[in-house]
Parts: sequence; structure tokens; C-alpha cells
Amino acid sequence: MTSAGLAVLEDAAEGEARPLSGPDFDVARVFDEHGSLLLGLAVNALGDRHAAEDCVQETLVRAWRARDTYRPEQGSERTWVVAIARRVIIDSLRARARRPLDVRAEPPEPGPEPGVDTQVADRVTLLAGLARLSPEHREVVVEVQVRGLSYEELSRRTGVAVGTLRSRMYYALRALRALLTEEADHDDPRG
Amino acid sequence: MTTPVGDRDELVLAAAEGTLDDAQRARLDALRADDPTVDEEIAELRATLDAVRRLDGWDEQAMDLTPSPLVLRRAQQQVATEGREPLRRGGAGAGAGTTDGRADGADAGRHGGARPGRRALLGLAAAGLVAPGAVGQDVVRRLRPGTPEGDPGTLGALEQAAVEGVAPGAEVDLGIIAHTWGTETVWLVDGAQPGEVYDVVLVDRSGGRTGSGSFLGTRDPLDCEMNAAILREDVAEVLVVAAGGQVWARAPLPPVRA
Repeated sequence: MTSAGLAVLEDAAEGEARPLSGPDFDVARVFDEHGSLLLGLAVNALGDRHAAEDCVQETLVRAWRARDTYRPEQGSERTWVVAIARRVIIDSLRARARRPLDVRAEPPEPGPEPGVDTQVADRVTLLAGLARLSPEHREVVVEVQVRGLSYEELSRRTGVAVGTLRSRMYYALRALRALLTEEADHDDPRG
Repeated sequence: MTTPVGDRDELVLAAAEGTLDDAQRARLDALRADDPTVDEEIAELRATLDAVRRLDGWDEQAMDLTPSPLVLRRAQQQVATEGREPLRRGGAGAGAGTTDGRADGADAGRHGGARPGRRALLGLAAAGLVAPGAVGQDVVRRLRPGTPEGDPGTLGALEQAAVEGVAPGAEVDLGIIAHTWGTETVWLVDGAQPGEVYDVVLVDRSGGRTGSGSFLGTRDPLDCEMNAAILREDVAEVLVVAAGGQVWARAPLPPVRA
């Protein structure tokens, strides 16, 4: 058991559900501050609310386990938690790809091809970047680049001038690129 | 020549999107002469655009969802269990929790010595919560209202398991929920010997065993939830083992199919 874990135990009153995290990392606070972002990301990646909530739960647990590895000087807590969530989601997608699994009757399925695995990871990383954009930036990126609306169509729909939308697109793409770079730097949290 | 900042942004974006007209192209050429970094930025934005355009969709409404409080509660239970026990990877149980989050105070992690006893290995963190009421069909479902039913291995769905070989005079209902982090078992037990320790063990298809905590028998029916660090698709059978080592109840599980 870690010294942090022992400290938590020592602080617990007899028969009481013990404190669930140390003073520097509170699972409930992380849930409150980042839970919606994590769930939104997971739903977009998995398309399944229940599986997404499982991933949020697992992210909280892995973050708690890895709390001693978090370094504020290397990035925000949000970046760190999202990096853990990406790994959890990728694990979930890999597990999903491994089925069916009646191992008594069938030989083990080969693992996914490296290229496919990379595509899955890249997609989740991109979704994580999108999830962290401001709603205004995300809207213009999604509507124009993903759904194929023209700037003029989006302008008519939203009432925002085309010039403003194009400016948002420029800064959204720059922000997205910065987030993807940041997430790549945090790509190996111990989670 | 100096290009206004807004104009530079517009030119870079149009170049990245591939929508430059002739006039913009001329202004961009002029910009390049003054700012050699412009081509690098265009390439970066273009790479980002290419990645975004490969996405198959985006659900904005999902960003307004709030996770169920149960997500936090279960994470807290799991964290609580791991905080009590030595972290075991690759086999041993992830622990247990009661439906109301209470634990019995037993602490396998504090058992000293190089060779912990069987209980410590299985996770002594016990679960026992009295829940008056009759034991019968579908009670496990009623213990988890709102949890959908699903085929074996469906993440987050409740799978009703058939319990066999229960000791005379006892009744056991068992639900299984597959998670990404392992397998949850939901129990309603009537007829366990009060004060007796019962270990929950998940058996994989090669016969390997993963502990999933313990519960104490109570005079009244008890309900509890147990977690184990083994994927549902790998679980072949769930056992309840009495303190003497004999199997007190067992539930063979069907294999997970696609």
C-alpha cells in the first residue's frame, strides 16, 4: 500500500466510509470539475452512454492511482485527466474489438493491426481535442469541416457574420493543433 | 510590405482550406516574402483540417450530459477498496463494496508478513448490508433499477445468472455487469450463516481464480455488490466459498458472444 493510502486509512473514523482521496487529489472534485467533459468525450468516442460512464469511472480510478505522477508545471489537471480518459477509451474500444471470445471453442483472435490501432488512437485524440475547444470554436469546426456546411449557410443559421466565423475557424484550428500537441506530450500518464 | 494581422489569418486559413482566389494568392505570395513562417503554419493547419475532415460525426448534445452520481460512487468505492488493500495487478480481485458504500473495517492491507493468508489474497474487505424482504426471481433486477438488461458481456447491462448448488435452506440471486475495468457481481443472499465469512471468487476459462472480496453472513437477507479485475468475457464461473473452503454456491456463466 502506498503511504498516501495508509494516510487515508489513518484518517478514517471507525466504521465510516473513509476519505476517498488525499488533500491534493479529490475524486469528487475531479468528478465535479471534469465529469461532463469526460462523459461528452467518451460518448462521442463510444456512442454508448453506459460504456461512456464506465470509462468516466475508470478514468477517476486511474487518475487516483496515478495522482502522485501529476505535475502541475507540465500542464493543467484537465489535460492530465483527459489524457488518462483517452487511454481508458482506447482500451475500451480495443476490448470491444476483441469480441467474440469463447476461448474454449475458438482460437484467440489476432490483435488489431497496428495501423488500425493507431487510427483508433488518433481518432480518440482528435475527439479529445475537439471536446476541449470552446463551444463557439467547436461549432464552426464541426459544422463546416465535419458536416460540410458553407460559411454562408452557417452564418444564416447562427446570425454570425461570415468574417467572424472564418476568424473563429482560424483560431479554432490553431487551438486544436495546440491541444493535440499538448495531449501528445501527456500521452503516457501512468494510468 | 506589411500585411494586417487579420488579413494574414484569412490568407493562411484560405490556403489551408484550399480556397484561395487569385487576389488572395498574390497577397499570400507577398506575405511569404516578409514572413517565412507562413508556409509552416499553413502546413500545420492543413494537417489539422485533414484529420478533422476524417471524423464521422460529432454529438454536441453529449457535451451537456452530466455523469450519473453512481459513477462517482462506484469510483469512490473502488478507490476506497484499493486504498485498503495492496494493489494487485493481473489477477487478484479489485475488491468489494456494499450497496450503501459502507465497509466492515477489515483491512487486508494491514496484514503483515510476506505471505498473506487466503483471505488477504482474496480481499477481505467484506460487504454486508441487511435488506429485509423476500428473495425470489428478478430481485437482483429490482436491486438495480434503471440498469438495462443485456446479453452476457454487454457493458453496463445486467445479466441474470443462474445460481446452482446452493446449500440447503439458502437462496442466492446473482446479477452480472460487465465493465471496461472488470466484472461486477450484484448479490442477494438469504440463508448464509450469520457471522460466517464467504469469499466471492471468479473462475476464468483456464481455471484461474480471481478473488472479489468477501461478505459476512447475516440473519436477514443481504445485498451487496462486488468488483473484480477480470473482464466478463474471461469469466466462466462465479463461486461463493465458505470459510472451510467448500463451495457454498456456484453460477456457471455462458460465454460472451459477439
